Amino acid sequence: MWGLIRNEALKLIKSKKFIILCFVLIAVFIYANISVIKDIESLNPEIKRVRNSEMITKLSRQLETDKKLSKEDKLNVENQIKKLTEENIALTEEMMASVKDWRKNTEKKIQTLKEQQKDIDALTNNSVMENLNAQIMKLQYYLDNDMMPEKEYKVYSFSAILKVMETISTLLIPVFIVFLSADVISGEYSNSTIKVLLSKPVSRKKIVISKYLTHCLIIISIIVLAEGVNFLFLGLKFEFGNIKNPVIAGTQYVYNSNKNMCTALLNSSYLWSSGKALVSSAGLQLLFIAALVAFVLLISIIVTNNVSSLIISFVLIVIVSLGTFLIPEQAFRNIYPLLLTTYSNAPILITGRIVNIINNPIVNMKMGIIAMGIYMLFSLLLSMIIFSKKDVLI
Amino acid sequence: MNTVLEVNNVYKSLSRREIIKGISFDVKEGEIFGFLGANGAGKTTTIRMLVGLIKPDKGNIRIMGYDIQKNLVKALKQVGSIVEYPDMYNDLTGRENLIIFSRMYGNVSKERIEEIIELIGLKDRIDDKVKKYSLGMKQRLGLGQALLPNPKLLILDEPTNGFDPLGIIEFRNIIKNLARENNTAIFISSHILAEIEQVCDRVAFIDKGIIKSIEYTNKLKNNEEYDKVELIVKDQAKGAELLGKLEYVKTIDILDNKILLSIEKGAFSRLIFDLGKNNIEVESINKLQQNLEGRFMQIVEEA
Repeated sequence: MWGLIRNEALKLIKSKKFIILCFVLIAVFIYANISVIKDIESLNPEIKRVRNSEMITKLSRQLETDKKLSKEDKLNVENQIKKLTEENIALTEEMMASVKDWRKNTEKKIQTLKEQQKDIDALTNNSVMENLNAQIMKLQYYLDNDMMPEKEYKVYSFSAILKVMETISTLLIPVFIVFLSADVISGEYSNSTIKVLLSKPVSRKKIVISKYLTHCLIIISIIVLAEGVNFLFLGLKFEFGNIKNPVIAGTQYVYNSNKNMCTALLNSSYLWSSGKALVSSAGLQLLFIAALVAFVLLISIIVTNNVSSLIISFVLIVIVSLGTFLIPEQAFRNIYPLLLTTYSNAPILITGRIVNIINNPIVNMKMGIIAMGIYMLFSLLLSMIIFSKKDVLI
Repeated sequence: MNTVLEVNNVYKSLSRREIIKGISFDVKEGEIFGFLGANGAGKTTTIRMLVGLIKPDKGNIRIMGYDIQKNLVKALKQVGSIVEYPDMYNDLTGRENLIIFSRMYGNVSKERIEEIIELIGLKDRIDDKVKKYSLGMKQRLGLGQALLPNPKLLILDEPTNGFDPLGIIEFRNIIKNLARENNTAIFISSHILAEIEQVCDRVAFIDKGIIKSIEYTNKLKNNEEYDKVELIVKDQAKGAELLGKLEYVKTIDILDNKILLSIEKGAFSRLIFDLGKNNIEVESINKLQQNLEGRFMQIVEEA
C-alpha cells in the first residue's frame, strides 16, 4: 500500500495544476489575513472615536449649510450627533481606563448587559437574550478565573486564526479539493493510462484506497501546514493570546412558533477555551476534507471524463456552496442539512452561527460529524464497489 | 511443457451485443501464440479479458493456474502486457513511469529497471518527460514496462504500431529471445500477417467472436507441394489460354486483373521462359510467399 501511495503522490505532485493551486492557496490565505486583521483593528476605540468625530463634524456642517432641511430631518441629524457624541464619551472612558481597573470595568460591563436584558421581551427576542447571557457568562468567567479580558480590537493568534479559518473554509477549501482531486480516476481514463494501470497485479479496491489516502494526506498536510504557519506568523507579529481565553460555543436554536425563523435556546451556550475551539475546528475541518475528497472521488469514478467530472464536481460543490452561503433560500432550508457543503465551515458550526445563515436549527456540530461521516463512508464504499465492477472499454 | 495461459469457453457481451461467443485456447511456456482476425473480430476484447480490464460473462481464464477473476493479483503477478497504444504518465519521466509500474508489481529491483532501460535502448532519454517522447520511444517504454517483472506470460496487442523498420526487427528479436531463452509464453494479437508469420509458432484465427481454427505456422509453410504465383499480363485471355496448356501448371484462378497459379515446385524459371517464348507481355509476376495470408483469406471467405 505504501508503494501505491508513493505512486499516487508522484502523479499528484508533479502535475501542473498542483503548483498553481498551491500558489492560489497562499494568495487566498494572505488575502484572508489582511481582511481579518483589518476587521479586528477597525474595532479599535481610537479609530472608532476618530471616525465618529469625523461624522459629527460632517453632520454639524450639514446642519449649518443646508437651509432646505425640514424640521423632521433637522431633528434626525441632531439626534445622530447626540448619539455619536455619547458613544465617543464612552469610548474615551474605555481608553483611559487603566489596566489595573479591569475588574471594575468588567463588573460594570456585566451590569450594563443585565440592564439591557431587563429591557428585552424574552418571548420574541431569545436570540438577543441568549447572546447577552453568553456575553455575561464570558465576562463572569474572566472575573472568576482572575483573567484580564482580551481586547476585541487587538489581534491574538488564537482567535484570529479561527476568523481566518472562517473566511477560507467555505470557498477556498472546496475549490482546492475539487480542482486537485476531480480527475483522480477520470484523469486516468482521459489520458488512457487506465489501461496500463489496471492491467497490473493490484486489486481495484487497493487502487481506490491508495488514491483516496494519498489525496487526503497531501491536502490535509497542505492545509494544516498553511494554517500552522499562519498561526505562528500572527502570534509572532502580534501576540498569541491566552490559550485558556473563553470562546462562546454551542448555541442551539429552535424554530419559533410560526416556523419561519430560528431563535436561540436559552442557556444552551457554553464556554470553550480558545485552545479547545481551535483544536475542534481543525478536527472538523479535517473531517470535512476527508468526506469531500471521498465524494469527489466517487464522482470521478462515475464520470470517466476528466473535464466532465471537474465541471460536475464544481457545480455540485462550489456552486452549491455559493448558493447556500451567499443567497440562502427559505425554500431549500430543509435540504441544506443534507448537503455536505453545509458543514464546510468549522468555526461557525461550533459557535452555532451557521443557523443564522441557513435558517435550519438542526445544523450543529453533532449533526455535522454525523453527516460528514456518512458522506465519507458511503462515498468510499460506493467508489470501491463501482470501480471493482467496471469494464474498461476505452 | 507447462500451460501458462488457459482460456476456457469464454463469452462476453458488450452493449447487448455478443462479441465473444465461446472461445477456448491455451498457450504453453516458451510458445509464441498469434491471434489473427479482421477488425471487429474480437481480438481486442479478448486481450482485455486476459489482463483483467474486462470481465468475462461466462467461462474462465487462468494464468499460471490462477483464475483471473478469483485471484487477480496472483494471476497477473508474472504477466507483462501492452494493450494497444501504450499511454504513460506524460508529466513524469520515463524512469518515473517505470518506477511506478515496478512498485505495482512489487518484485522488481532497481537493477532490473536499469536492465530494462538498457534493453529498450532509451538510456539517454529515460530522464526526459514522456510528453517529449516520439511515438517510437513511447512504444519502447511500453515494451519496457511489460518486461519489468520478467514475465512468464507476455500479452501484446498490436505491439509494433509506430515502430520504425529497425525497431520492428529489434522487437522481433527480443520476442524470439524471450521465448527461446527465458521460456516466456507470448501471446500476440495483430492484423499484420507478415509479423505474425515471422514470429509465431501457432496461430488462432478469430472471426466474429469465434475461433475458427488454431494451426502451426511451420506446417502452413511446408505443406505446399506447389509454389503459388501471381501474374498480371496485358492480354489476359491469351495468357490464360497458354497457361492452360502448360503441364506444370496445376490450378489457374482469375481474380480481377490477376492470374493466380499454382505450379510445381521448381518450375518457376520454366514459366518465365514459356511466357517469353509465346510473346505474352508480362506486367508483373511474383511468387507468393505469404501462406498465412492465403490461409487467412480462406478462413475469412469460408465465413
